[in-house]
Order: sequence, then structure tokens, then C-alpha cells
Amino acid sequence: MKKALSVLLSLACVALTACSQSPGENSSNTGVSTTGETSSEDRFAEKIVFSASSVDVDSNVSYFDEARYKKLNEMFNFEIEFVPVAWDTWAERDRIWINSGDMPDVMFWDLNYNDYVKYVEQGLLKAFPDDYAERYPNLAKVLEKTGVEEKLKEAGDGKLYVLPNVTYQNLPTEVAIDSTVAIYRKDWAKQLGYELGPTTTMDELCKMAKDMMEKDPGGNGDGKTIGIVGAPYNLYHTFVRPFNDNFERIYNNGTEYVYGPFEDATLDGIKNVKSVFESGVIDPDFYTSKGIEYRDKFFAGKAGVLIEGCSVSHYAVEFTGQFGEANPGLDPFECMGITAVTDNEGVYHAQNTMNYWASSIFNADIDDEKMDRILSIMDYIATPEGQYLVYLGVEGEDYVKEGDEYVMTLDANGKEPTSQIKNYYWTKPILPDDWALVDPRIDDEKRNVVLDVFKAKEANMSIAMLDYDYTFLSSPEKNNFAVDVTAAITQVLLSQGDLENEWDQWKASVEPKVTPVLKEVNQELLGK
Amino acid sequence: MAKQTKTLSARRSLWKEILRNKYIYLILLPGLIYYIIFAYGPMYGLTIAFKDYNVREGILGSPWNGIDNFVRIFRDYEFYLALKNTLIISFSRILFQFPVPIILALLLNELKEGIYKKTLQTVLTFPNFLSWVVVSSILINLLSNGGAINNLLNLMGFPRQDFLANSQIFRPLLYITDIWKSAGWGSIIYLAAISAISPDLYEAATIDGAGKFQKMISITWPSIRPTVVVMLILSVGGVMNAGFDQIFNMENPAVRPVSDILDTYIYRITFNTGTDFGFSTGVGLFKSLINFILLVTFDKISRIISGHTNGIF
Repeated sequence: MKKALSVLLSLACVALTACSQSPGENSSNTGVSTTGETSSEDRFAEKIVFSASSVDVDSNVSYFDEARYKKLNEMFNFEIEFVPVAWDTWAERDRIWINSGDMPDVMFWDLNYNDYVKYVEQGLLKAFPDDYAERYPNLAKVLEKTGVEEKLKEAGDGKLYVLPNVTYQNLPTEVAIDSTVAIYRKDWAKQLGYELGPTTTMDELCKMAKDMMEKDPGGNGDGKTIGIVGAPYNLYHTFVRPFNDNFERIYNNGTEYVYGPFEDATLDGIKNVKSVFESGVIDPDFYTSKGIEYRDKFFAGKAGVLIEGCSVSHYAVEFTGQFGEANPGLDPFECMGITAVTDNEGVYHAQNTMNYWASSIFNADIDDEKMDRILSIMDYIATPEGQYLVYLGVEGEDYVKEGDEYVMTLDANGKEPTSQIKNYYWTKPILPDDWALVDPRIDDEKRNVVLDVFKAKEANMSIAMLDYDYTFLSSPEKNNFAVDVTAAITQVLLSQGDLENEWDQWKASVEPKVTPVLKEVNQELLGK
Repeated sequence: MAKQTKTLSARRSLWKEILRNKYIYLILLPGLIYYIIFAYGPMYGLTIAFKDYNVREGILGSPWNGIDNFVRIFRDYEFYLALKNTLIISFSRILFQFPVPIILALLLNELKEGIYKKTLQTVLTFPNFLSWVVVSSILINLLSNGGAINNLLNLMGFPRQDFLANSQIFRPLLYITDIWKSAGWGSIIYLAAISAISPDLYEAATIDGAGKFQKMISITWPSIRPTVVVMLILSVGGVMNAGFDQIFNMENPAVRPVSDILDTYIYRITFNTGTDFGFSTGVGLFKSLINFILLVTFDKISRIISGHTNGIF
């Protein structure tokens, strides 16, 4: 009954989302109609060239011949100078560029509030025009959905200096929660007699992973199958958070702000992950992985379970695509299952997340006309028609519609050609997570695999809610506070010494840093 | 009055000296300009360590904040950990790594000229041209739990070892890999010093009946000793640089308590955990100051010990 209800709810959610984003809808006020005709004022008569940084773009591949670009260029008359950045270094590149005055005209930036306040104070970013909500109504809607527009304006004395990329226009759950799941080899699980639902307890998951290691359904050879792979943070989210929802942060316990890692429950969680690690289920080399290398072990068929953040877009496009490439002949949707890992009582320990990820910021020295042009393009992209253009392309060029089906134009290798416009992050004020909810190429059945997990999490969860007052507090001690709790857990987890003793030593070492912050935060927010 | 006259005549003689050797000074000029522009000029940027640095107002315009940055530095436990690790790793490098290129050069010198010697020198020098990114990737592949060495141990019936998570192994691993990578290259300077020794000395020693070992001890070693002392002084002067490239690529969170050095600490606080250039510059200034003190002190000590024959300044 519960399952049927959750399926119905998911379908209703998808239907609502789809209805709210039909491609014909037009609410643009940028002087450009969605048919591509320029308005009488012809604001965009003069060509502009702007530089834009992003991951996933290749400066060796031209965008001039792309139908997407041609269409946008007809409307907005522009050229882009590529500034590619790599996933593993983009955050530090951004810091260097901003602080050296070398930032591109529009920069893909991992919005960090403390840094945002500093940059705004120092005049390093260009403010949005005061009437941005009237001039760019579609972007204004996106901003509203992020839920942080007012907080960001407060830091800039009423002016806005950043455009966060909204994750969902219509959240799949009532509040935004983390997307962490266990992605597992469904075909191996079936062989071993396991059939997992949208949620699985820690013990059940470990038992299945252990069986996969010992019985080797993938035929890797004796002792060569790994149980669980994942980044340290995701592993601790799964095996430590069930013991303390606030294991890695400062939070308000109802009376005062305290430091979660100092609580006994966190130590219990670390003991739990240590016992799982010592049972051999977790990849013994998990701590040496650089970037997202750990995923390769799963896609290459060496590991049975991957703990990872997984939205519809990840599951239906990215991960299944990677799995398909690594395992020709296997159906990714038949071989990959997803499940949320709960504590042993069946409760999912969720993290309330912001409804945005990363952002676009503008160089303080660019002129108003250039900023207006870039924002106008982004405003168009934020319309349903713009979304179809960026993510699907131009009908007749990038795809053809056969009945209800969208048939993509493939290159000589049988793949969709790379689109720089699609890959660029300044074209993603609405992230692919949202598009995946309405992407006509994704079957509802596949979409619901992920949505069911979201709903199942929500049905029985304990949640660490975001504290907006704390998050958006800018104060000297808090702004300089940085302790890497994930690294500390990894150290004690792998240490040969006594776990409790080692953790106590770590607590004692960070205490001089934590105490002044707690004192400041309690005074600023609670008057204590 | 006498003092003033003395200074004036010293100035005059300096100008005379410069005019007399004007072409040599002309050759010196590009180097001098380079150092003024790229080394001494930017030193005004060190004032950031005493300022609340603001990019828009620049280095000169940012407000002074006294020693606030240093108060924060000395309150951070990670700084002390990084300082301790830097000193341990650097002095251990001097103890274990510094003699290796010298011994290698002495041994290579004993080989007869020919294809074997040249091949050996090439083989020993080659690893220096591999970046630490490549070397560390090879090491991680070899030493990881599923790596070649553990597979071999497993095959022989021994239990697998967590080499990469073992704090006791990490530092020796640094020294061994650095010796493998740099010793061949480092020996070149000593081989150059050896090649400058007059062959007459060896011929005379041979006539006197000295063996290879005696010639090495009595002729080669005393001849290259000034070079060794200069290199040692420079090594001590660089004690606070414990090898960023190598450690950054080889470390992991499990060994951070023994691997985190001042350079990795500065990198982390500058690029990963927040932007505070005043704080980072403060740590950098502290590091340079200690290096400078060690350099001058060790130079003085070496002069006293050698009776003022060896030293830089």
C-alpha cells in the first residue's frame, strides 16, 4: 500500500513538474520573444564577446557550428571566449582569479557564503541591476526557488551579486534533502537471492556486499571483488550519520550551539564505520582515491556497491551511460539498482540541503551592456523553451520528433555530438537535476526508480535541518573556522591505536579552534 | 673627519673598480635587474602579513592589523603539527639523503670511462625527470591494498599490509623515493667538482703506492669538501622547504598527522579552506625567517669549525 502510494505521489509530482514546464510557455521579458524575433528596441544590435569559465568544456572544440549556438546567436548576437577549468582544481582557480583581478566576465563559482561576503565587501563582483526581477523575470523565478535570494541581498546591502543555479524548480520531496544512495549491482544481487527495495538497512547492505565479495558473482577471481566503494564523506554519511545527524557540524541543540563531532554519539558512529571497515566490506584503499576515481571500480565491475549522490539525471543519464560504456552488452538499467541506506530500525538519516548548487558571478569591471546581454541569454535559457534548446537542441538539427518520441541525431560513432553550449555551466541557471524530471527522453519507469527512493527516504526519516541563521552569519571567528572532520575520521579509522583515545586526542587538538567560534556564534545568534 | 675621508676614498675606489671592470659589470647587470624586479621588488608584498588584506585596495592600501595574523597562526594546532613535521622531515632528509649523492659520485668516479659508466649515469639520472605526479601514481598502484606488492605478499602467504595508511612507513617512504628520484641528478655537482681535481695528484699518489680507497680518502674527498660544505649550508638554509611536490602527491588523510608540512598547510589554508592572504603570507614569512636564521647560523658554525675556510658569506 505504502509502495503504491509512493509511486502515485511520484507520478503526480512528475506530472505537475512536466505541466509547469511546457516548452510553449513564454514569460520572457528580455526584449526577445521565444520565437527568436528581436523586439523593436533591438537591444542586441551590437555583437558582444564575453569570456566564461566552466568545467566540462573543451577549448579545442568549436561551438560556432552548433545549432544551439546559432539559434541563441540569432537572438542575442554574441560570441564566447572559452575559459575551461578542471573539476579537481576549479575552486582554487576561481579563488586565484578573483583575488588577482583576472576573473572571466562570467565565472562558474562554487558559492561559499563567507567568501561571497568578502568579495562583495571588497567590490570584486558586479552587482545585478536593482530592477533585475522586472528585467529578467525567469531568472527571478529561479532565484526565488533557491530560497536564499534575500539572504544573499542582505550581505550586499540590498544588492545581489550572484546567481545560484537552482537544483529543482519543483522539489521531489517537501524539503530539499541529500541524494546519497547505495547504487548496487542488481544483477549480482539477483544471482545471490537479494531483492532490495527503495530502502535497505546498513546491516542488510553490508551482508549483501560481503556475499558479493565472497561468492564473486561478477567472476573477478577469488578475493578480487570489492564490497563497497565511495568517497570518505559519503561513506561516513551512510555509516556515521545514523548515530548522530550532526556528526560533522556546529548546530543548535535547542539550548545553544554545540559542535557535533564532540558528542558521544559521533564516537559511536565512528566505532560503527570502523567495525564495517574491519569486516572488509569497505574498499581497503578508499582513502587513496583522488577525485571521483572510486566510481571506476564500480563501473568496471570490480565492486558490488557504490555509495554516491544520485539524482534522476545521474541515474538515468550519467551513471547508466558510464556503466554502459564500460560494460558493452549489459543493460545498465537491469544491472544497476539504487537504494537508500537506513539505520537498522529503518530510519533514513537525511541532510537538509540548499536547493542550489554552484553559481554564476560577474567580473566587477564588465560594462552594464555586457552584463545585460549575458543575463538576457540566461533569462531566456530559464524559460521552458530555453531549457529544451540547451538540453535537447534544435528540432530538425539535433533531434527529430516522431510522435511522442524524440530521436536524437547521432554522429558517426553512434553518439550524441558534444555540445559546448549544453556543457557550459553559465547555461545552467537550472541544473540538469531539474531537467531530468521533465526530459521527454527518460521513461517514467526509470525516473521513478530515483523518485521512489526520495519518497521512501522522506516517508521515514530523521533530518538535520539547515540553520539559515548560522549558515548566513558572517563573523570573524566563524569566517576563519575550518576543521576537516572527514579527514579526522579517516585518520582514526585507519590508525592502529585505540580509537577512543585517538578521537579524544583529536578533540583536544581542535578545541582551541572550536571554543572561540561557539562563543561567538552563541553570542551573536542567541545573545548568550 | 678622518672617518668621512676614509668613506669617500672607499667610494671612489669602488667606482674606479667598477669602471676598470665595466664589461664584467655589464654582464652582471641583467642578473642584477632580474633579482631587483622579480626577487627584491615583490618583497613589499610581505607587508600583507601585517595587514587585513583587501584585493580592491591592494597591498599598499589595505589597512594594517598589527600582529593579528600571527596571533591566529600561533593559536592553530595544525600550524604546530606542520612545523614539527617540517623540521623532522627536513633534518631527516639531511641525515639520510644528503650523503647519498656524495657517495654515489665517489663510487661513479671509480668506474672506468666507457659505455657501462655512461649507461649507469643515465639510468641513475633519468628518474629526476619524472614528475612527482607520475612517481606517486606508480607508488600508490604498487603499495595499495590491491597493488602489486600486496598481491605478491598474498601469493607468498603473508597478510596484506596497509602501507599507504601506515604513519610509521610514510616518512621512510619519502626519503627512499626521493633518493631514488634525485640522488643521480644530485651527484652531478660532485662529479663536476671531482673532474676539476688535477690528475697529477692521482698520478703522484699512484707512484707513491696509494690504493683506490686511499686516493679517494686522501685526494678526492678533501678536494670536494668545500663543495659539500656549501651544499650542506644551502640544505640547512632550505630546511623549512620539506618537499611540497612529493608530499602533496603522496599523502592521504590517514597519514596527515605525520605528513602535513608548512607548505601543504599554506596551500590548504590559501586555496581550500578560505581566502585569507594575510594569514597565508604570515605563515610564509615565518617560514622564510627561520630559513634565513638557519642559513646564517650554519654558515657561521661551518666557518668556525673549518677555521674560516668553508662558507658562503
